[in-house]
Amino acid sequence: MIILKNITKIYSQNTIALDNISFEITSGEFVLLIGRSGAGKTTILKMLRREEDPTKGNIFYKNKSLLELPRRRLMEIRRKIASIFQDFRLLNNKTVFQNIALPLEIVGLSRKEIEKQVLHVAERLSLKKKLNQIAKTLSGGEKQKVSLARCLVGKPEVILADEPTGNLDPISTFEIIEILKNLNKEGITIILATHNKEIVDSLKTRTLTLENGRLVRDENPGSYALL
Amino acid sequence: MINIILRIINSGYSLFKEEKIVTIVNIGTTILISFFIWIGILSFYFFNQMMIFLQERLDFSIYFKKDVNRDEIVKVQKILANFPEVNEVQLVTQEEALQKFQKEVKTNPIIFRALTQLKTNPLTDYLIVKADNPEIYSKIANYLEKSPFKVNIDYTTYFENKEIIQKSVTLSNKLKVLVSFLLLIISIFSGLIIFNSILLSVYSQKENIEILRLIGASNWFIRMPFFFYVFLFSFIGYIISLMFLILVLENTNSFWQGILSNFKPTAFIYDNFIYLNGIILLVLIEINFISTFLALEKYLKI
Repeated sequence: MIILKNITKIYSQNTIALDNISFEITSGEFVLLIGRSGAGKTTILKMLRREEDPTKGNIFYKNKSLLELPRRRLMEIRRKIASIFQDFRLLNNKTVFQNIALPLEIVGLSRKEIEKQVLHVAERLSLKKKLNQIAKTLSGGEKQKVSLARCLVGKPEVILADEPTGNLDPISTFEIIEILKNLNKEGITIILATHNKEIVDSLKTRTLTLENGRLVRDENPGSYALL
Repeated sequence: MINIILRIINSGYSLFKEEKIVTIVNIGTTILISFFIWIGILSFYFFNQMMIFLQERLDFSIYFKKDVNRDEIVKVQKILANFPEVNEVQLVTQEEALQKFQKEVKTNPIIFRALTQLKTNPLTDYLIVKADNPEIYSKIANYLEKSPFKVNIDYTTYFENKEIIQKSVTLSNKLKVLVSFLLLIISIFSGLIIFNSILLSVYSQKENIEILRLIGASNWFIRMPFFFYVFLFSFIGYIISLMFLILVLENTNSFWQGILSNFKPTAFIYDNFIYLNGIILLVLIEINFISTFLALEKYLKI
């Protein structure tokens, strides 16, 4: 489903963020990207949503090069490869409903259809009572749930999770990981970047270990202890 | 389609409501720029009126020899009246000329007494030519010089007034060029000020724009609410500036009339209300739209 082929990313002043990285992720996998800060986890996720382009190499999604996609198709891909972030990236002055509804507004659904789908996802993530609350007034865990709901409402095929539990307490962390596990069971491919040892050890899933921009291990299941 | 329009209006209005300080700055900038534009337009109008005022006081008179038949003079009058740009060719008869002269010299007892002692009317029939553009006077003078009527003409005042006529034409043209240049400078500066002001609004929304891009929003999905927002503050800013301008002009009418009797700025605005306001608002919104488009480009590259 996703293939990274000889990806190298060099920033200005010859800083090598990624060094000749290649791997393949099949549909429905739950993959962990681990490594210390600056190892290149976030850069890989940015490239998967074409927020950044590699200096060398190519990225394929469903056998099509992401780098050759026209801008219009790229926006469609971003709806299929959805993202959640450590800092949630919500529209803070909007309500929970408005935040979740955004991907549906982008595709131009009717108000009625948007309401139906938002309510469905909100119910699933226990956010129904929070729908009219302004996003900035939510707790960290709730914000991450809203962020996940915003992904889900667009019916994504892949979710890129960039340190989604980095700002959360242990209970919220557990809750978010459980949601991601359930979504994966439903067939959504999850790529989770983390440096949380408990998450890595508890998930027992394929783990890609990055070190100084290089892929040093690809194990299934992986272990944090190996770092 | 209706959903998309409603979303644009809703999101644009949210920008207006949420970014209060930025919105106030934008409205203030629009008011200021509308004033600059109005000052330019009213200056143009003022100079135009000033030229009309001066030109009305300049005429071109043709004096005929004493023995010339009035029918011959009427013939010349008809020919000159057909000249393009000539407004009026007035025949002043010998009798009217005398009455006019007597009125003018009433306060000078020596000339008045000398005039009444004369048994005959020393004055002759003459023609007064009036035109919007004084440049036509030189063409008439050239025409008369080459025409068969030349022998009937005693003298014309064109050569007496030539210098002042030419100066007024030159001054009028120079002032128009100057005001046009000033309007151009104002437009460029207005564009830059508006661009910076809009850059501020876009900058305050840069995180939101980035989020929208990351969840797959198209460029137009992001741009359109900004366009509506820009339209909203431009319109409000312009209406405030227009109301204030009319209020100021209404209360200073007598002041302007004192400077130049035919300069009536409020009448000028009311007479051309739809045309002038439509054009200014259109130009203002267009500058704002282009500025928004350019200001957003940087953030749409993600």
